[in-house]
Amino acid sequence: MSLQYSSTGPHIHSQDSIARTMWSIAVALLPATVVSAWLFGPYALYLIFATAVASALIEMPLNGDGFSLRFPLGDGSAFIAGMILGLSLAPTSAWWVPIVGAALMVVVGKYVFGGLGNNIFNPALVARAILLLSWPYQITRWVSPLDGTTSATPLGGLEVGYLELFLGNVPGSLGETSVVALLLGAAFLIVRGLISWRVPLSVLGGAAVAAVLFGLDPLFTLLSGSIMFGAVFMATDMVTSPTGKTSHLVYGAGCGFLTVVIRRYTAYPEGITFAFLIMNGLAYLMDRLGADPIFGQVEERKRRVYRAALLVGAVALMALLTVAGFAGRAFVADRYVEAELERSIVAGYPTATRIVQATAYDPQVSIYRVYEDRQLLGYYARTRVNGYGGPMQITALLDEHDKLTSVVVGEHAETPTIGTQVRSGGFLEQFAGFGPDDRDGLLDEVEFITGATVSSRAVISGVERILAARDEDAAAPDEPDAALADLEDGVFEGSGRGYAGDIVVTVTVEGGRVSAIEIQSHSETPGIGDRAMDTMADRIIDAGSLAVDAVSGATGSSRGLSAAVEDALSGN
Amino acid sequence: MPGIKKFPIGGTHLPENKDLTTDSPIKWLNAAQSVAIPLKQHLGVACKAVVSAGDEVHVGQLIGANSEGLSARIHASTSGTVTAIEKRVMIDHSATECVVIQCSNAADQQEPGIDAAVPVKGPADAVPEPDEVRKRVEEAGIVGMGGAAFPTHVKLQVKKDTPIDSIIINGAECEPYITTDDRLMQERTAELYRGLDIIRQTVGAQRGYVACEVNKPAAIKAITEEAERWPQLEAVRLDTRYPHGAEKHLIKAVLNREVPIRQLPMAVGVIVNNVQTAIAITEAVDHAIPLTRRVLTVSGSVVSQPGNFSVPVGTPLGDLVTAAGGPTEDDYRLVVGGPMTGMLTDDYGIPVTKSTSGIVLIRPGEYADRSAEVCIRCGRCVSVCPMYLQPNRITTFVRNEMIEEAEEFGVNDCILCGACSFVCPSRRPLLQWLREGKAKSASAAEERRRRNPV
Ligand code: SF4
Ligand code: SF4
Repeated sequence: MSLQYSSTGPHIHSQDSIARTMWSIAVALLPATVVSAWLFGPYALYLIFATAVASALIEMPLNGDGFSLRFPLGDGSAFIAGMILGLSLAPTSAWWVPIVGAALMVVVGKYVFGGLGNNIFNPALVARAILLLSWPYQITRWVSPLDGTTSATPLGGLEVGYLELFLGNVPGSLGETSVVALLLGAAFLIVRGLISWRVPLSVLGGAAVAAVLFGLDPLFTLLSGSIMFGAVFMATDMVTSPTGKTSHLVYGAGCGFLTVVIRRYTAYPEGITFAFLIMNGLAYLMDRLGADPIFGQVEERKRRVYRAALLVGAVALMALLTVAGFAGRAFVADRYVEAELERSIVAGYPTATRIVQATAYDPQVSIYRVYEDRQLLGYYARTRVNGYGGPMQITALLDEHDKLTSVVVGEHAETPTIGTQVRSGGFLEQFAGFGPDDRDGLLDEVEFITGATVSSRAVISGVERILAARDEDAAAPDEPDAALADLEDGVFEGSGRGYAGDIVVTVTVEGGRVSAIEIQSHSETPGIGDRAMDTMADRIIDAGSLAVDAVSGATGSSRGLSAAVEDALSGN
Repeated sequence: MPGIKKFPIGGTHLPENKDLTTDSPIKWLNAAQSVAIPLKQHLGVACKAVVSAGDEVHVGQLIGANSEGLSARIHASTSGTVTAIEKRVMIDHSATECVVIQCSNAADQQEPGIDAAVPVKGPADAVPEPDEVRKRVEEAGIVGMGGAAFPTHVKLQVKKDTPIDSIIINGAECEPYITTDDRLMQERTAELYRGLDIIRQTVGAQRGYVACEVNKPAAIKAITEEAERWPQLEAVRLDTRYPHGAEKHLIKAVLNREVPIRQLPMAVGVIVNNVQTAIAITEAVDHAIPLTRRVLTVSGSVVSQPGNFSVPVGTPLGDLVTAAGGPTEDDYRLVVGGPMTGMLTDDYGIPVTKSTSGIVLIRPGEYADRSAEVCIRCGRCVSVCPMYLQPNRITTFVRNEMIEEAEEFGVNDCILCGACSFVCPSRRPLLQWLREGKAKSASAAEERRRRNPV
């Protein structure tokens, strides 16, 4: 029996085509485009459409369809990808960014792989990654919408409310700020059947789970940055995402999870670019390994459920083990470190009775104030520097006048014969007597160990760093005696300068210790400043000291409160 | 009546175009001049002619038979003279032996239709012994009339280890344009239920179902009303979704049972039969009428009088087009079967067989455009595939001659429904490639057997 394949059906066809698909996506992008033009002004339109048009133009000679009827927009795929890339740019991007971005996208992202349908990585993200690495400044200078002042993004530390994030009145990329516009677009795409709801939903799910695991606010995580934009328009990119139902879920969850991991643990405040690119690379594998059981593979389906349950169980067990291990190790390590530290401080200041950790302005330096009763003996400081062979621990002891008494090189990895000489008394003695003010002279006056320039220089830089930290520490307002002990009982009033004005407090002292701090008046930001002050008051009471960490995100209010408490107790 | 049922995942909505013919009653059509009755209209081995050129035959007379288990007898569909026994090209491009009968004058062609005076039997009437039923069905030459053409008397043979508890009549008719089952359910409801009851009692099943998609309200009404007379039979409403007519999906929808891969419905205790087959069984068992005609739809936007016809087997396609008033435009294509799974042809001499469900004339605008652009991996083919396959990937394997990979991804589990091709925005002829893949897989298996005989 011979079959002529070309005479087989189907002889009718849905009205869809590549072009229709692409232009529908353009429609879905419209709300975000309009909102970005409203928020960031007409230049936003230039950025978006310049990228789109440039992409289409650059593709023209490449797609081999140059002079057909569809000239010059082709099937619309380049135009759409361009719009998406444009919407992911910063509102202040230079005029050439759209054009360079479009070229990178079309050439490197798409045609290097063989054109539409063949690229492994989402072209818009490829372009974004290259831009981000090559011109970080130009593409990450954010401004506030409407007024245009330079500002951090919410992910970069700006404090904003959920509603603003939802509506989009926050700094960020052109298209990503307004969640409501993005949801409109998503609804359109899902209703038109162009994307499966599984992908965006699992991206958000994965991100939320990661946020909870890493102790972030899940709602903030979802509403801020490009996650929503990425979930709707980037993770769903047809060419570079898997096609199966199960693999859609796995892929989406992976995208969301990785994004949050990158946000949390790398120098990039926004993780979608690299997270999604990594997942793109895994898409094919997911379709291969995650192929859904064929209709009728009844046994296979049962096996999968069983295997999935096993996997979840195993992962949960592993997680449990890891957490237990971490906690145990941290517990042991903390105890060890504390004990070692105390031994070492007491060795330096034999009469010490009380050690208080000072607020570290340079996070790489830890400074401790050492007291004999209420009498300051001096400062004990530690830092780590990179020597010739690896990290080196530098410890410095200063007297109460901030002059170095001795410097010790702790754990190190210098070469045994020469580098190790930096530990010798002769070398280290040279540091005695230096203080924060004359630290600039160190390099000239300290003689290097011959043949161990790098090691010597490292020690000097460590000492310099410690002195610099002491300098700032000494200049800080809430100094010097932070310990609140042996106070006179009573109720005292004081004031301090906060972020937005004076803060007036009353401090109650009972049994020589602060028992209550009440805020009488202030003009700090409601919802942020006042909450921070309450937290600070609790911290001060708990620690019995003014040397507590400021509340992050509201440092001004925190410092102000400390100052007010100090003021109240100044006559004490 | 229970709610609307459907299979869980996959499938798509098609432009139905059934309104063209859903209201036109079945018209009786006599053979115009000659018929060419193929001697192979069933799965299995061809029949041998039992008449020879020059013989006079009358309608209903046996003209072909074979003692092979999987064949079904062939009867003359018109009275007249056998002029030749010769090979003709069939719709699948095979050349098949046909008995060509020159019709005698129209008056004595009248075939033994059901005598209006003999009432159709009801629920209270006895059904003959199973062996007797199978014998009468075999003598009438009945095959599955939905397309597969599996001999029905074989299907009614129950194996001991797989008892049957349910019978489903497949009235889903999910192909666009085609309305034969639709009309039959409306016009011959009683015979349909009688046929279902005969099947049910013959195989010892407890329940029988007539399943119909909700896009055929008149048929639904008819079968629902009729079901009230039959205590063990019921009507089932199906959601409109292609391909509900696929056997395994019908079973999933109606009974929520999943037929294991590469197995027959019997494995889950079910037999599925076509509407027309059930009616043919009633005719054969109760009225001793052999299967010589079938009802089919002639439709399409360029047909001047689209309609449903009862035609003698062997009628050339050309006669059907003429009977429907011919085309209104010159530019059209002829599809035999439904537009989803049917075959394109320009040979109007091809004869109607027992399993031809209709012919559709399609206008240029409706032609499936085979521009076959690149796959943009949109995944729509995957999401509509009722077998949960990845047609995009399988076809890529097929086109790169990677047959083993194609098999691994289930090319042989594809039911050739064409839903994937229908939705592909890149207009890739996926179904065509899937057919190629199946053929290549079959010849690869053949090759393996030859080299490594067990
Ligand atoms: S033709 Fe085959 S692969 Fe395509 S949708 Fe139907 S069953 Fe799936
Ligand atoms: S529907 Fe067509 S374009 Fe989309 S994945 Fe399937 S084969 Fe590719």
